[in-house]
Amino acid sequence: MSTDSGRAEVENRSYGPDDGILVANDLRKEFGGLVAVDDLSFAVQEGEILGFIGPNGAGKSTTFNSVTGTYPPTDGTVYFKGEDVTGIPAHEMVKKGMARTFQEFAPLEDRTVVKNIELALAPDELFTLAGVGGESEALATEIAKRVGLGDVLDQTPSELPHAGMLKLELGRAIATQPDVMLVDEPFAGLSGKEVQELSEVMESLRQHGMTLIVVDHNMRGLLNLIDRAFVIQFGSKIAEGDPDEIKNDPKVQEAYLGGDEI
Amino acid sequence: MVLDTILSATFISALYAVIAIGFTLIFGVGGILNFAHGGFITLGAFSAYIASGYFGLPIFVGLLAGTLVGAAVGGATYMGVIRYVRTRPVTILILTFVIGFFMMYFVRVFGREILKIDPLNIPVDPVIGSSSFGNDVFIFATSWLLIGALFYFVNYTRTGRAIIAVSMSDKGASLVGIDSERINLITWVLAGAFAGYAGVLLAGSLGGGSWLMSIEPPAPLVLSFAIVILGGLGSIKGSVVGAYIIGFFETFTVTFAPGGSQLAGISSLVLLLVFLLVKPEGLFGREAAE
Amino acid sequence: MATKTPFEGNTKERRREAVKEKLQFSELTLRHRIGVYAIVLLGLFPVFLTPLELDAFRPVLFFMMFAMSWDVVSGYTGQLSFGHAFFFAIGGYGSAVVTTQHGLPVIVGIVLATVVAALGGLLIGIPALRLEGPYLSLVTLIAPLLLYQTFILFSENLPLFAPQGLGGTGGLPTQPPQIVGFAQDALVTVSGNMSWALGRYYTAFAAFLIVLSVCYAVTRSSAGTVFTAIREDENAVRSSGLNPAKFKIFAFVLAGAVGGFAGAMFVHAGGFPNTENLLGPGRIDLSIQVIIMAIIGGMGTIVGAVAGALLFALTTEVVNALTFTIPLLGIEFAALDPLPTFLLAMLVLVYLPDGVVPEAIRRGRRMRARYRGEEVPEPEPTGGNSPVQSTIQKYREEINDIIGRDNQ
Repeated sequence: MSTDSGRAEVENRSYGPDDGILVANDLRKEFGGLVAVDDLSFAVQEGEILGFIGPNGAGKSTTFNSVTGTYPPTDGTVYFKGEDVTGIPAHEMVKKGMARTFQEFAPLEDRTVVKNIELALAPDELFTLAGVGGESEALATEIAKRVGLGDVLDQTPSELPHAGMLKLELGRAIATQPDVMLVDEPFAGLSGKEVQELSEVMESLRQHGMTLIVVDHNMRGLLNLIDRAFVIQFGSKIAEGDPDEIKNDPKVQEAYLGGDEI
Repeated sequence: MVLDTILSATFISALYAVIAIGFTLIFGVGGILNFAHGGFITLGAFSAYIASGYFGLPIFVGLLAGTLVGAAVGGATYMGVIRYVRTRPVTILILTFVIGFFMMYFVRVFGREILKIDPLNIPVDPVIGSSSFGNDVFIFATSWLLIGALFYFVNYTRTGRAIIAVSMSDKGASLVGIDSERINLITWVLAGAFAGYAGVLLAGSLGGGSWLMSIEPPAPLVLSFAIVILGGLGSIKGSVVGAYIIGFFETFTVTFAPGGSQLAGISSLVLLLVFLLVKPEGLFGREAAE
Repeated sequence: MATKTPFEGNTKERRREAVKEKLQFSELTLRHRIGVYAIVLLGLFPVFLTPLELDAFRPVLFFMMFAMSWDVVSGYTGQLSFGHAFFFAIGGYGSAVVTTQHGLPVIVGIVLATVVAALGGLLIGIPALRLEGPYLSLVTLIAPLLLYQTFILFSENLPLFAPQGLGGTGGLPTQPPQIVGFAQDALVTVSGNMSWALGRYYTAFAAFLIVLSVCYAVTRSSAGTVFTAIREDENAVRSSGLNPAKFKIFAFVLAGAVGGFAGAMFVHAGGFPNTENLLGPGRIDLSIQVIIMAIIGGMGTIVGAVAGALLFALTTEVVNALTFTIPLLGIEFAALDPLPTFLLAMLVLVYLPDGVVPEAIRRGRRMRARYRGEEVPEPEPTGGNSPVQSTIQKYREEINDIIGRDNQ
């Protein structure tokens, strides 16, 4: 796939099931008469960290809600690991190896950080002895430490600072042992140091073979992290390429004119 | 036969609407499913018995007594209990159940132990004793009068519009200076009055009241729930339509279905179950935005 | 897989060891040890009580089972059931009909009744997937009322299922065969009132142990964690790769099975299968009482259901024992039953919403810490949600959705 091809090709290109680990083809989502995602196609390559950028209201969340099974798309196809997974429910998507974090996440307030992560390790089975031997607690602890929550294992989510909640959400997603993880606006409201910390966590996940998609409304903080980015506006893709290309793309600059900084 | 059935369904449905409206009001304004509603109905009928059956006053006085007692216990339930637990819907739900059953058992204990009557058969006369058709017409006319008055009150008076405001948003209402405490109290008093009034008329037309009358066929407590769900929770207009659907369905199955009289109280429940599974948001429900 | 489990080796072996370890009495925490003592005490009741008192206490064991059945589904997943006696009645009537009208053995009756009640749980559980809070409450509420009407409708004859009918308001025509009794058809035939009373008590006690173990095991397994997570936030469950629908239905089926089993055991251990015993004198009041018990004791704990049932029964007992005459009314205080109990329930609901057991554990921990001179734990874990709070939150959101209010 050549990244410097013309824009017309970018927009019209359609993908086959095996063009990437996660592929969306002519994805469309309408609410009533409103088109939120307009025949969007993209392919995510295994092992990359992809930025998924767009101004507020561009249809980023809707796209990923349609891909991860929060609701079915109106039209189009989603392939995951070469398999057609269009419209399958969210929990099935997770089981297939696709996790996501939520921008407006709601941790379970009735239990500690480590128990929150442990839930994601529980098997989707009614009768099981899993967890009795303490291995899922040990694993949950391990994950919590890895995302930087080692000091607050026994606190409840409401005691955590904002960055801690983001880490918890990340830890919970990691605990589902995904191959692809979609991270929704991970850096919103974080300090430079915290952004750095989280970026390192994500980079190390990639080193372990995970594919990451980072959704954000601008590229602040993403430049050093991502390999490649898509930019969407009004539910359509307007640019695709490495971070520098994106920054200099006239169409992108127009989309962000007078608004957010890209 | 068909004409008679249509006529009697038209009459009884009006009463059903009055039964359900109090339930609707409380849900619409406070977001509370008030299971004590059955208790209000029962106490209304019981008060009518005490006034007319026990003290020998005319049944019109009994009707007035039932209405006033209903209003009083409605207000007392809000002021004495609900007000303190308003932020805990589940507690309220269970509390209203307990309160409702408390009232029912109160009628049972008081009737049996003190008045020495059979709590399953509390004599309450129809308001127009001379003809059952006359009584039906009286029920129909006054029910519609009450519904009309309530509709006017809610839509065209200051207090009524405040009720609508509170039903949309407590916070918004308090921002424009509406005392939502007072509005809630008014709602509960109104709901109690409607329930008490309906209880007297229902007992009269059934040939007597009972401590279990709110869950015995036609089970006004369940009916109100059913009607309100059919009409969409919280809408007065919807409740009237719901009452007519249920009233007609019930009257027709009881009259025409084989073994119909046995189905009194069942048919509307079945209709409701089916409806719930097919269209849970009700006929006039506000659709949740995606 | 990006993350590796930190353990290698035989996990099955380790799990077995862990289960064994958890069952070691010496390893138990204080509150668990108190629980075990209490159960042993229940088992020793026949030593202190007369046969008459035993008979009076036996229904309390069944209340405990009923309350646990409610707690499994409503206390844990937050799906409130308002007509839980539906399951008890299915179990009790089912087993009674199977044994008396089809002549099948008691054991078959109990098993069949449990299965049918589990199916009843499925019947309620499936609508629960589509219906939100108040609507579900209505479905659960009308289930026992419909059942009651069914008993009247088919009082003479229910073709195929109950050739001799369901007996209407008065209950079934005959007492079903007993597990322990005088008659020939009893599983264990005894002579003498004492051994009969003992037999009935221990039948009920055995049923209690079974129900307690099942409820305890499920709620303490990872399924229990998922149940409480559903109560907190279904989206979190979904995004953890768990199917909330499956677990919700399972909770209803389990509650149905457990409730039906208890109902079946009730009629084979001296209880008569009628609506007053299995639905309550006011048709749905047994369902309400069960909720009161579970909440008084502490929702979402199983143990709370047991303690709550005991407290409820004690209150009723005390009320019935007060035979003084009330001045103005001229009737005995005991004649007011169940009004005082209901009044007390209201007070507990208003002032002690988390229930007695969680409150006791909290206080117990603080007292012990003080006694040992350790740091006294915080009175409230700040920000943590109690089962009641999260059920409330869930319900409030659903109600606000339905009536379209905008209070967040």
